[in-house]
This record gives sequence, structure tokens and C-alpha cells, in this order.
Amino acid sequence: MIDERELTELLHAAAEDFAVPTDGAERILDVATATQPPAVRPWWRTHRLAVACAAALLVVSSTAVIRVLSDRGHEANTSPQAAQSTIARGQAGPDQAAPVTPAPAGGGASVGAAGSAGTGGAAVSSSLGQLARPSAAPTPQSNVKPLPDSAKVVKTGSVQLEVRREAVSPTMSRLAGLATGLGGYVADTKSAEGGDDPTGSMTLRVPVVGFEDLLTRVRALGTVQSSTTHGQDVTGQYADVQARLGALNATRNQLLTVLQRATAIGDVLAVQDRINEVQTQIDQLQGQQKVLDDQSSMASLSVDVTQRGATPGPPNKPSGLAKAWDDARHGFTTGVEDILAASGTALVVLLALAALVVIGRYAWLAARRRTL
Amino acid sequence: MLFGEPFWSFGGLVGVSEVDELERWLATSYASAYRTACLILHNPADAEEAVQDAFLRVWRFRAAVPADEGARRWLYRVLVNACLSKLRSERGRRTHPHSDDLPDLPAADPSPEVMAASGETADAVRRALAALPEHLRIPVVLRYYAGLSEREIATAIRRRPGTVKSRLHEAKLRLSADSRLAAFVTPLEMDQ
Repeated sequence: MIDERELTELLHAAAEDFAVPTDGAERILDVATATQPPAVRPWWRTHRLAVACAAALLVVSSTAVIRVLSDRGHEANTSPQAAQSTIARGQAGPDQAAPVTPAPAGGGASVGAAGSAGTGGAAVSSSLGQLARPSAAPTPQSNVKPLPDSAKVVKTGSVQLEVRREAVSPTMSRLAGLATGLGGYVADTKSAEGGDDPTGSMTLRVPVVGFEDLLTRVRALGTVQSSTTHGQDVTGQYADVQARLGALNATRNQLLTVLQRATAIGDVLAVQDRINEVQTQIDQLQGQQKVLDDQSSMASLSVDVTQRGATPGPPNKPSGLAKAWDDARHGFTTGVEDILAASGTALVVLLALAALVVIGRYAWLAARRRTL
Repeated sequence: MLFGEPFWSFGGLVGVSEVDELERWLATSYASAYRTACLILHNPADAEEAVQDAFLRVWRFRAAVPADEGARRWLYRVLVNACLSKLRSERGRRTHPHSDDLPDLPAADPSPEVMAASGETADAVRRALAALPEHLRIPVVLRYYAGLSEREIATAIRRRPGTVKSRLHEAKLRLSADSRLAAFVTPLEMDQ
């Protein structure tokens, strides 16, 4: 094979055979300086990558900051309501039981059945007194409780509990004991204790004030597979019922007044029919009010009890290294999710644009690549 | 060193005070760049245009000229691209010139003895180079005339150093087998 030194000499000999134009460089530089004056490249074009990274970082961080600030603002707006709602629930129980227990529905029944204006009027006024109690001026006893009726929240929840073998039945008994101990009762129970896979389910009703306590105690009875709680604010619905009741009661009072003054039989009967219609509507609304009172004063917790081993249990506890790997993987996933959640769509759009830019650049370079 | 003193002062940013230095560097580099282009293109006119395109491109993007030896690699990369553009456009106009159809080149040395001796050698080498395909000719010129390393050639032609090495080997095999160079190389080494 040809020697490299010889090849170098041959190529230099061949190259030196080409006559170099004497003014070649000068002509090129003249053209260069004439067509394009010396200029300094803008710094942002020189450091395009750094500028792009800084812009992306700025967008992501500003989005995250805005999101955090908006979340804080939302928390600041909602926390007083939540606190008030908690206070209301905490004080509502004992107070709400009173107006519900002496149900005023008998007033309406007495009006319709007796057909006596005097009796009906007495019953109605009694009923009105009961109904007006929640919105009446606070009595000395209720002076410190202005909130109980201002917020009505229907609290419900469910817990799936796993207990050790042969413990389903005792757990059901304990659940019943918990409900009664907190001033509540067992609304529904169902159990299948035969066979190798005994299960049970129970619906507990306790005063709202004891709901969290009940939940904590129930969770302590076994391994919680899942737990959900739900609160529905029915304050608006309750206030609407109250307002309609007030209007109907006023109408009924006026009709009773007319009835007392009526002398003709036809007038008496007509007014009486009208009073009956109004009273029917009042009864319906009072029923709704009673249900709302009951739901908002007594929370409901549904508990499903299963025996451990009845269903495929959790996988074996991993070893130290596997656990560390799982933790790291989980932490990474959580971190990425947090970043994506904090940055919103801005980061996704930026990443998509960056990917498009990179792909386009490589495609452009590939298209322009000189093949040798 | 091919381009004289190392081009060390351009650190990616060219100020007004460095423009003169850039001009000097380009003027110094012109002869070598021109001869490199001539060896690749075998046509002085095309070589001059290719060098002009390359130099204008360097001037236009002078802010991106890397420092030190990087400037040299960068210049050769631009020059190779310009030569390839010329070859491509030449292919578009007509077929590649056969080695026997090489144009008459101006003689460089006026001495009759030197011209007689070196002219024959240069002509044989030029024809042997012209017989090589482009993908072998360019690495050979860059390696054995411009003095670039295999890695620098890889950067200039956008190929891996291993590819450059294999191409150089193949080019040497072909040149060794070329009968036009038989009179200028050692027979013993030809047999290896």
C-alpha cells in the first residue's frame, strides 16, 4: 500500500501546481465588507438555548406561583365557611331535635277533621309556634347558638373494613355499640356469617357531632380498605322550605280570619276548602323540613365488614431494596405529577413545542446534509 | 500548521476590534483553502467560487466561529460543504468530468526543470485523485494535504471517525493500485 508520507508529498506537489490567485482573498474580503458591515451578533441569538431554557423556566415558575396563589386565595375564602359549618354542625344536634320531635302535623289534621274554626285556629297557632322557633328571636338558652340553623349539612360516609378471621360478628356488635354509645342507632344491618367467607354491612346513624368520632373508632376496628365521606349543604333548600311555610301559614291565618267572619254557608264551605288546600301544602313542606332536619342532624355511615383473606390481599411486603426502588419510583412519579399539575397546560405546550422544534431541526439538517 | 498561527482570539463573539484579525486569518488561509478546493473539484474556477462561498459564509457567521483549532475545523467543514454544493450543481449540469478530461491548469513554477518534474507528478496525482469517488477523495485531501486528523475530518464531513478511517484505507488501496502513480511510489510499499 502507498506510504502516507509519500502520499502527503504527492498531494502537496499536486496542490502546489495550482496557481493561487494573488488577489483572491482581497476580492472576497472586499465583497464581504461591502455587502455586510461588521456587526456583533445579538447576545440572545448567541445564547439561544439559554434564553429558551430561561423563558421556559420563567413560564413554568410563574404558572406555578399563580396557581399556588390562587389556591391560597381559594382556601382563604372557603376556610371561614368551613369553620362556620363545623361549628354549626357541632351545635345543631341537641337543638334541632326539639322542633322535630313535636311534629306540628297534627294541627293540620285537626283543622280538616274537626271543621271547627276555633280548634283549627288553636292548632294552627301552636303549629306556627313550633315552626317559627328556628327563625324566631333567640331565647336566652339559644343565645349562644346563632348558627345551628344557619347551615344544614347532610353528612354521609362509607367504610370498607377488613377484620381478622372469625371477627366479623364481634365487629358488627361493636359497630352497633359504637352507634348507640354516641347517641345514635343502627339504621340497617345485613350479614352473611355462614361459610368460609362471612361478611356484614351496617348503616349507622349518629348525631352529626359524633360523626368524626364514629369514623375514627370504626377505622380502629380493622384494616380500612377504602373510606369515603360526603357532605351536602342543604341550607338553601331548608331556607326555601321555611320561607314557603311562612307564606303558607300567613295565608292560612288570613283564611281563618275570613272564616270566622263568614256567615253564609257557601262562603264558609269555600273558605274551608281553601284552608284545606293550604294546609295540605303546609303538611308536605313540614314533611320535607322534617326530613332535612333529620338528615342534617343525624349523619349516616355505611360500614362493610369483610374477613381478611376472603379477597386477594395486598402483595407481600417488599424487601428493603425493592421498597426503596418502589419509593423512589413513586416519589418520581409524584414529583412529575406535581410539576405537571402545578404548571398546568403551559408546560405541556412548551414540551410539545420543544419536541417539534427539535424534530424539525433534525429533519431540516438531515434534508440539507451533504452525502459523501 | 496549515493556516499559519492558531486562530485563538474568537471565542464565539467577534467584536469590532477582532474583525481585522478575522480578515488577516482568512487572507492567510486563502491559499491552502483554495488548493484544497482545487484538489477536490479539479477545476480552478469552481474552486475559487467554492472558497469565496465558504469565506463569505465564515464572514457572515463570524460570531459563531469557535476558538482556537475549532475555527480551522469549522472553516474546513464550511469549505467541504461549498465544494459538495459545487459538485452537486456540476452533476446537475453534466456528468462528472472524466480524469482524462481535466482542464489545463496554470503552471505555478516558472522554472523549466522544476515544472517538468513536478508538472508530471502533479498531473498524475490529479488524475489519480479525479478517479476516486467523492466520498474517498475528500477525506484523502483533507488528511494528506490539509493535515486534518481523522476526528477533524469526521467533523467536517459529518461522519464517524471509524467511517473516515475505513474510507482512507480504501482510498489508499485504490491509489496504490493506480498505474498513474506507480512511477512515483516505492514498489516495495506498493506490494504491501
